[in-house]
Parts: sequence; structure tokens; C-alpha cells
Amino acid sequence: MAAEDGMAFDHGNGLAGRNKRDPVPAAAGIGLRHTHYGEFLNGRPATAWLEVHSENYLCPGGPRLATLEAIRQHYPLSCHGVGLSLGSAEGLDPGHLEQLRSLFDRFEPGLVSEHVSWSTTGGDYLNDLLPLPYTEEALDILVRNIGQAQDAFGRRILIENPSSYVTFAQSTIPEWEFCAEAARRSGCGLLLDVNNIHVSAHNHGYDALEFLNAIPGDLVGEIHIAGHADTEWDGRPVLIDDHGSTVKEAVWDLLEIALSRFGPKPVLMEWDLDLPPLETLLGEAGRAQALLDRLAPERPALDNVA
Amino acid sequence: MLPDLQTAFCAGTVGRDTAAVAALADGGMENGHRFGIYRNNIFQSLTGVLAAAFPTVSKLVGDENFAVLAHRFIAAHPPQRPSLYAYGGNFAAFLAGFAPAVEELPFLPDLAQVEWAVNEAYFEADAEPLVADHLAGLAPETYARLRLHLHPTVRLIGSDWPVWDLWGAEALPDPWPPGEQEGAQRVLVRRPESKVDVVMLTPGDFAFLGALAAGDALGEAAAAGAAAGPDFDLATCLAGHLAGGTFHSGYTIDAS
Repeated sequence: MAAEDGMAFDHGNGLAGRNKRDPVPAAAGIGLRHTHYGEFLNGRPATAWLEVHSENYLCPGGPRLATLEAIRQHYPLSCHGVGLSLGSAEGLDPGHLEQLRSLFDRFEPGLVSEHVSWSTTGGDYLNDLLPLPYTEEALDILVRNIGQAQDAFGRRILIENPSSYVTFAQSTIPEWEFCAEAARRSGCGLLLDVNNIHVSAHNHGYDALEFLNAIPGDLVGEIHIAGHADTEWDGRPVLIDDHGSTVKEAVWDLLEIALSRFGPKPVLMEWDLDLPPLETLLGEAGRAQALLDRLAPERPALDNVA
Repeated sequence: MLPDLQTAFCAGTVGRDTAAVAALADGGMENGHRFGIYRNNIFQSLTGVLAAAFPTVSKLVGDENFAVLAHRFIAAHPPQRPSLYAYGGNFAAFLAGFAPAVEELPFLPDLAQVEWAVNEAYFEADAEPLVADHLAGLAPETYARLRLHLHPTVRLIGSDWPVWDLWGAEALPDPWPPGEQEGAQRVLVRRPESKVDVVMLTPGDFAFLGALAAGDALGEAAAAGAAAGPDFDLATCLAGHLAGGTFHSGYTIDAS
């Protein structure tokens, strides 16, 4: 199990902690959620690394930051943003960039990531990862905003392909090319969410393999897996990316293909809705680790530090 | 163009503007019958944020009613920043202006204030509390000129309703409503270390701490406390709040 990275660390001295900015290994990790703080404060659950939502830690003080500080001593960390709104036509919020920069300076995550989507318009923050039309105009805006973020953070970021429910007829670029081209032009990397690929491919009627085939493996810095809901909306079937269940078999298949094609990468098990016991998350991460061990046995440490 | 699309998307989701959704569809949005998934995600996730910040309000009005209140609030006051720990600061004021809620449960805005104070105290910057030892070396004649500063996590809420009893309640106190005399309660919220305290204050202590918050020196604040409550006792009050971590370590002394 990958988890030995976390376990092997000597906590005996209590203070030294990990080397700051230690890289996130090409192994399976899980999202750290408030519900599981106790288990991480009282023990060392076996996971190779942890990912948090950056926006949950932008508060001035209090137990949440102190808890992350304590847990960070024992695990490599990835900061995954959900609120920067890289696709906003009106540009990025300088105050938010500054707060994120402070967070990264304090916790020194090995990976920093955001989404190919938008959430803010006219100053209103809509708290969802909203879809972009895949046009040259949107690509220019996205690339400009990624550049501004990377300059503000002083480091390279990864951008995640979104799941979506609507598309736009004005789109002229396939989603996979849009994401890869944004990464090439801005110099950032890709966070490949294979659950999102499956959800969007199903909802919009394209072939998930076509997406994977178009992705240059050297741009991929991390892979996400998660559960989705196979449900109905307005009387018609749809897949909704709710991060509320175990990973579906079709998504495991995509992970297997991605790992055999791209080599070993950090793989994150995401779960946000109706959070299960920690063991369930660790079980899913364990299955991902078994795939990594089988398909990509060598595990060089990856890092997106510029 | 992207700015127009994003403006229309916002109007169609948060603003529930059906004309904006129709315009998006006319402009080329495909699978527009799924547009409501986004509206649903936004309202549901933000309702969850508010329910976590206002658990007692949510409990006392019930999940369904709370969702109605939250949806109205979200539509009128969508978040202005992505740090959602700070979302809901004007929920109490919104409730005060929402007649159907306050006619039935007039204490709701004050209770929401207490819950928001707890939320703010939890996330506020950490600071060292003042302890009795810090003052041990002071000459007694300097006491009246002492300026104690409240710990940055402290919030004071005075209410005509029994908000301390109501905070954390699973149901309305029995009997309800309370008689006028026993109804009013004053609450102190603080987080000197990691745990948030919610403390009921006497009228004297409430006036004393309020005067300190307004910048009064100890002598003036003590006078305000005594005026508000005949049983106000400065020594007891100070000892209790020094032990509880109500003050910030950085006190000052006025020139004589």
C-alpha cells in the first residue's frame, strides 16, 4: 500500500514534521473533510497524501486552520481550488488570489489545482463549477486568467476538466483540445478527472476514449476519481457529478486506461456528499493504489512546483 | 460573447429569470432542459452552507421552511466572495425584514445573530487572552485608568427574547412564549482558544462589557455596569471574565 509513505514517517520528535513543500507522490490519496478530522488527529490513517478544498481554509484563524496545520505535518498536501473562477470574463478577484497565495505560503502544498469552469459574474459567486463555451474567446480569457493566477502564486497550477450538463452551439473546439491547449499556452498542467470525462461523455454523447486519446500524458499532473449519480432530470436520464458514492465500474475502466497510457500519477478519491466512514474512502483509494501498483509500478515523485 | 452568457447564466440561476434561460437557449445552449441542474446545485449547496451556520434557526423552523427562507435570502443576497465561511452575515437582518417569519417567531433575527456570532468567533483570527497574572503587578490606583480590550472573537448580543435558552434548542421552551420579565437575555460569545463559549450575562455585566467594547476605561465601564444592574460587582465580574478569556492580552493604561 502506498500509504506507508504516511506511516513510515517518524512522529517521535513531534515537531519537525515533513519537509515543507514535499511533493505529492504518484500514489493514491483521499480528500480531507471536516468529518474525518478526529481520525487524522488521533491516528495516522493509511493514505499516501491528502487534498483539501483551498476555499475551506481562507479564514483568518480558528480550529480549522490549526487542525490542517497539525495534519499537514504527517502527509503531503494538495490544495484544490473551487472558487477562483478561471473562466470568468471579468477576470480574477485580486483579493482572493492574495488569500490563496497566503494559504499556499503557509501550508506549502505539493500540488495546486483549479477548474476549467467559472463561478463568478458581476461580483456574484454562484458556488458551482459552471460550463464555458469552448470558443477562442473563452480560451483567451482562460489562458489569461491562469497566467494571472500562476504569477500571483509564484508557481504552476493544474486545471481540471469539468463535468457538465449543458453545452453551447457556439463551441468550436472539442473539450479535450480546449483543456490541453489552455495548458500548453499558459504553461500549467492538467488534473484529469476521469469521472468528469465519463459524466460529460455520457451527457453529451461523445466517446470518453476520444477525450483520453487527445490528452498529452506529460501534461497530466494528477487524476481524480469519484462517484456520480445515474438519475433523471426533467424526465430524462442524466449523470450528475455529485461525489456522493463509490466509483462506478466505467470510471475504474477509464482510470485503468489513463494509468496504462500516462504512467504513474497521483490519484485522488473525492467524496463530498453524504460522506461515508473514512474506511470506505480508504477502501476506494486502496483499489486505485492496486491499479497503480499493477500498471505503473515505479513511483517517481511528481511535483508541479515551478 | 462570454460576458453576456455569464450574466444570463447568473440571472437564470440565482435570479430565477426564465427569460434569461430562454435567451441562453436561443443563443445556442444545448440540452437546456438540464439548466435547472445548475440552479438546483447553487441553491442546494448554499442552503447547506446557511443550515450549517444557523443550525438552531434551521431546527426550530424545520427543514422545509428553512429552505424557503434560505432560497429567498440567496436570491436577494448571493455570496460576494468564494470564502463561504463568511456567507450569511446579513441573514439575521434579512430575517428581521421577512414578515411571515418574524410574525410567528419574533426571536428568529436575534437567535440568528447569536448563531452568526458563534460562526464568526470560530473563524476569527486567533489572539492571546488576558489572564489574571498579566494584571498582578499593577498598582491598585491605576485600575480606574485601565483600558481592557475585548478578545477579538468576542461578540455581545442583547435580546428581548431568551436567546441563550433558545440557542442549541431542539424545540421551543415550554411554556412559550415566556413572560415579559424573564424573556430578555444577554449573550456573550467568545473563543479564547479552540472552543467557542456562549455565556448568558447579567444586565450589569452586559453593560460593563459593552462599555469596554465602546472604548471606556475600567472606571467608566464599572459605573455603566452598576447603573444597569444593582447586583453588579466589578471584582466578581472581572475574575469570571479573566478566567473565561473574555479580554485580549493587550491592555493599556491611560496617563494620570
